[in-house]
Amino acid sequence: MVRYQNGDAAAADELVTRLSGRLHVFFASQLGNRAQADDMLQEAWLRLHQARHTYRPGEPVLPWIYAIARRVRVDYFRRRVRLERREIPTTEIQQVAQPAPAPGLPSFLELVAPLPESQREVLVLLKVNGLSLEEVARATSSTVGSVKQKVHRAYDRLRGLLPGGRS
Amino acid sequence: MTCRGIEDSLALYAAGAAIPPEVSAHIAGCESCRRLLAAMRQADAAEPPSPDRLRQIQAQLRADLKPVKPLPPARVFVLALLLIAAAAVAIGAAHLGIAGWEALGTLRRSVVFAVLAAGLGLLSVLLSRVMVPGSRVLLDSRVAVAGVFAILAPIFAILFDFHAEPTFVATGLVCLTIGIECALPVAAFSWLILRQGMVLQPTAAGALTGLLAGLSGVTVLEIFCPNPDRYHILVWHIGAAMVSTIAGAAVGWLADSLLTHKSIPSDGDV
Repeated sequence: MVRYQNGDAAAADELVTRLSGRLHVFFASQLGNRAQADDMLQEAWLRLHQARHTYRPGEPVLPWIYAIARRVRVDYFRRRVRLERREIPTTEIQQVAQPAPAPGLPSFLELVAPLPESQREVLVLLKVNGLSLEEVARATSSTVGSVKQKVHRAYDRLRGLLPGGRS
Repeated sequence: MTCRGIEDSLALYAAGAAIPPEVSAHIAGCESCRRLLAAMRQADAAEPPSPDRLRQIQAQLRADLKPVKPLPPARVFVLALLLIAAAAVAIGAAHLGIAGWEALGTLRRSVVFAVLAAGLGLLSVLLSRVMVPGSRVLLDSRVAVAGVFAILAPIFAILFDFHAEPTFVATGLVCLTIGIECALPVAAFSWLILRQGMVLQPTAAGALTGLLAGLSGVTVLEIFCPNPDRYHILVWHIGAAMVSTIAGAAVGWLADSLLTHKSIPSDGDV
């Protein structure tokens, strides 16, 4: 990240290569739409690039990145609401190709799809993006206690949704 | 070990982290946790971004890859915000006089200005974090705003007594106006500081900035206004901070709406 701030093109390429997959899943988990996730990924990188001076060396990188990515997603949804209000016809949605899940269980993103957005977001950040509770708290401008509460609520709801329900 | 006890680290276990023996023992005997862990181990459903798109992003970044200087440490911004507030208070007191300061006894003076200084310090620290994405959150902005008023109002109510005032509204409006006039430059200069970073929550940042500016206005009023009436201070002095906070939140919300509209290209542009 410091090399990227210093204008190193190879470092910028490496960051894009290493982080785009996880960012893409972060966006796709909310959209289920590959084309839109691609657009949001591109928008996120442009914003990260514009804001790269706000990263302080020594601080964790992932919360900084996901905090900005989260804002891109919020802006996207607001824009979508505006467009829907204007009754602009939506384009045909290209769904993400789903890998075959294990028999009897849905894929992870299918599993978390029924959860409220805030709960789904913390589970995706924890499981798919590999952030710690502290990093999720930073990325979501929240406290660790609040993140833990969302996680527990999400798991509680998932237990009820899983095949077989609660034991 | 309880079901709730393993949930903090369940995502890590699902990602392949070593599971401690006590957790394994619980999972072995708990059908619900076993199902949940198995579900969390399912593959992520999304495909990676297209290589063409990644090359496009890399090209865009390379096209404007000037070296940038990282933001200075947070304490620099805290100091800058406090200096702005202090400058406004000093200028306000120099113009308006210090009749209020002289009218306050030692105890009331110590408590009033200690509380106001603590509030200004807290808000400066919170604002220095709001401007940097991914900063650790010390206190939720809404809690901070509510907390400042919840502490300030009772303390002022206890410290000051009721004095009948025939011109409650007329004199009050003078104080309210002065408080807001002192708050305005503080808010404007503070916003210039915040713009150095990247504010991701403009409404919250606006409310905090408004409150910082409002408390600066209250500080000027406490130095200037010798009126000891409890209700005058609660309604008009603290009211100035409330108006400033609401105005700050409104400006932040407006900026948020406009920037959101501007920042995202329309479908035709994508």
